[in-house]
Amino acid sequence: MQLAALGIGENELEKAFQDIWDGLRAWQLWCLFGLNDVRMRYRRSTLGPFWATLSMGIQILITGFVMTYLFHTTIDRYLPFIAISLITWSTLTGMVSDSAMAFINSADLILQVKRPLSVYLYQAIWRNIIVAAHSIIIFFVVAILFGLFPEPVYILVVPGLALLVANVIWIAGVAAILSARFRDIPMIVTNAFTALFWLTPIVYEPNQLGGRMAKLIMLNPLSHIIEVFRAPLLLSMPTATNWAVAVGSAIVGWLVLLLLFARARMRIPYWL
Amino acid sequence: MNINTSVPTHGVESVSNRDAIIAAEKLAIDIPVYDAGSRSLKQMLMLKPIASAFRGASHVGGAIALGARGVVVVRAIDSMSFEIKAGERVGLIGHNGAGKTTLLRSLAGIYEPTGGHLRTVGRIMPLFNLMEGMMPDATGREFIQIRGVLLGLRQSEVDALAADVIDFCELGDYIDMPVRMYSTGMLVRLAFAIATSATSDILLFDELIGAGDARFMEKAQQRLQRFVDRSSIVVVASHNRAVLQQWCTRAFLLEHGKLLHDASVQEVLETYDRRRAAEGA
Repeated sequence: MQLAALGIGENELEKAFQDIWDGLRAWQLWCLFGLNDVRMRYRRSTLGPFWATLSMGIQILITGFVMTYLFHTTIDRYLPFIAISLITWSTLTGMVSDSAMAFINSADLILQVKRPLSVYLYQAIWRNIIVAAHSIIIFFVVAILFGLFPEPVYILVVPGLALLVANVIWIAGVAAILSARFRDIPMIVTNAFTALFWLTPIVYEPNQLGGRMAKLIMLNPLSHIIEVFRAPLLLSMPTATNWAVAVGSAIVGWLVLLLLFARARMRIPYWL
Repeated sequence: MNINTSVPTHGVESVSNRDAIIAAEKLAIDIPVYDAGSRSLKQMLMLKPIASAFRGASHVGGAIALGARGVVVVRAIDSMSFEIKAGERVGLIGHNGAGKTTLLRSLAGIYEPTGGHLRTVGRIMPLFNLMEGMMPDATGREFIQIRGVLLGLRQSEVDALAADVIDFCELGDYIDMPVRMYSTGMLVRLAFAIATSATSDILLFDELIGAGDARFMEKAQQRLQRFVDRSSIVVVASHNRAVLQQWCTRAFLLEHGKLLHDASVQEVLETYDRRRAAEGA
């Protein structure tokens, strides 16, 4: 492939890989920073990050009751579904819209010392993982309350989560890079996710839509990316299509991210 | 914008003090400006023949030009060539906007060259903002931890750093208070003590800090001297003549992103004064 045609200078791809790797090796830095971000945000509050858990819990309960009534379904079936759906979705959108500001908000740090730029992305992701770890508790409580005990299919949660994370990271990375250059992107990202919320099976299951609408919704890759993680937790098997789309979008997405990063890496400090 | 970048063999590993080096060859840094005002700037540049008649009217900033795809570009560093060897202490002199900070950022590896070559060997310590990583709600002790990790130290080194800094700052019990409770003087002490406790080969300063009481300043002076002595190359941008004369062995006069004069501090200061007098007349 002609990298020069894409505006990528010689050695730039190599340096992009180096940046990603050096960033990973500086885990102490982003782990501490991510943790500090969470600490600072909830400092002096009694509940701390459990505020996120609490508000998520309330949202799940209310959505659960309203939708059970609306969809004529039963609460024991619907509540675990809406719990994991909302937690997954809010983590995903939180990570991406937070990452969109990763370089912009760290401008002071970036213009201070030479460091791998990927560090700031890892920091944004890690901080959201910490918050997500507090929220996911709700799902397990709900699951046990309604008798969804782990079965062998739970094993599939591992590859499902890996695929989900791989996909979220490339979306977050692309958002971070583009946002540094085009400052409308963070707002576009936020708005896009508000729209996508209803175009992704989060509050409803695709079969509840039925017919052509269900097919249409499954054109949204996010539907599949979420399903490979969610289905095993609800003790069902993701379909082959789910796996294929999730793997495919991870591969294509990472390719896009790497090329974009190779092209933009050295320019990012200039954009801040 | 012409992105013809050399591979900056950028200093990460510490080297023997004698091997530290900074070598620039036709170094150029073009900074694109994407802000909203660029449209009117573009119109201004269309009238460039007229504008050039007034050249010299502006003392500040590098040359402004239109880059590729109509982006306004400021040539902050324009074709600079120099070599700084181990043991040299270089002072950067120039107006605001002459390119001092940009040059320091480029030496630190933050701005990779958009033209020419830059080679640095040795571990670089940029001290542009001593408050880097400062969060108002963090305690002094947490701040030391944050700075330690930012400087890339191991936990054992961070602990040693904490002991050294606490001893030097004389902050007492305040070290466990949130830094937003500190007075400016206390804050500067803390930041200064942390910044000057690590060792590196190449030190880059952007204006030295001057706050705190007289007794502390004296103590700070000694500590700073030891710190500078430990490193092999020092580059400092300052408007403070006393600092330049006391510390530097060589000076660069920067103007509009160009390296105008590279000589001893005394000579360069004289050139600087002559040019200012000429402008004033």
